[in-house]
Amino acid sequence: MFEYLIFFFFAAVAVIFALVVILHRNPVVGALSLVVSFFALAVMYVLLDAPFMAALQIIVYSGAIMVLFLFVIMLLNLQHEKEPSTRPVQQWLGYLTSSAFAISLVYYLGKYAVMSGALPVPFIADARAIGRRMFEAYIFPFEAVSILLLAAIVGALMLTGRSEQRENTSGEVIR
Amino acid sequence: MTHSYLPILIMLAIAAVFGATFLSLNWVVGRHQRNPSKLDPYESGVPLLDVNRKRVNVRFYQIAMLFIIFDIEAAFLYPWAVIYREGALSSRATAMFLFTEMLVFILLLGVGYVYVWKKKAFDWK
Repeated sequence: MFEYLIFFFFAAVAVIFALVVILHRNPVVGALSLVVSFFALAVMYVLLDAPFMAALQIIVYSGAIMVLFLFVIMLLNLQHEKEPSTRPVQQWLGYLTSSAFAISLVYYLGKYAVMSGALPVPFIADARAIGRRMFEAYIFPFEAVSILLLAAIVGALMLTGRSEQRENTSGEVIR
Repeated sequence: MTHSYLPILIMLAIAAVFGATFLSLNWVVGRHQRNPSKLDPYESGVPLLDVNRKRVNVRFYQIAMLFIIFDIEAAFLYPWAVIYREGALSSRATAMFLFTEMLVFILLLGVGYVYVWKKKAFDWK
């Protein structure tokens, strides 16, 4: 019973702040609301007996991805505190489509997804279980991840292109 | 299982109550006076030099991306660290296996680290 209370409270928090993310006109407020939404999702993971996922949610998403979003917002060079609302037709079409999608998603999940009863096997996804699976069954993907991260490092440096020539040609130095 | 996370929930609640209490106490007890000096920078602050909503250097973004990548690397260390002790106690071969696998993982990312270092991405020239 107590867990239901926690679930509904944090589910409401997650949904409300997710709505703030898409409805608020100030992008920085949106980004910070996303953090709150991520934290509420971490609580969901704890309730699902997946504490390691909860920790990762906070470490990676709330920590790192958020910083990236904030820098994207700053890179976009938004001069105005608030954007004026443009193109009402598209706006209402967007509201209509997304609410239709949400309603059909809830309907089909309620109809077809198995939501009754407990899982057939006890589902534990703590760090120990994940570590054991990682080094037993998924040892090759685990090593492949390091190659992937290596490629990501090179890609990150390439994307932000900081070779000496380019810096000279671009000229404009912004603090 | 979930009950062991109750202290965290209690801590969250205490933090929320604490913050709300002192903000509202400030609002209730304090006098509401608005004058221009209240909006000035603090005693040790500097006056505003420029608008704050301007494009920032791409280097911030680059550092953030590199941070994410090494953060994810660290995330892979946690499950390894949790299982390493019992794996190492079970047999010598398991211990060597676990140790070498993580060593390869870290060495591969170490190559990336050296690459970033040599590219002078950490330097704020």
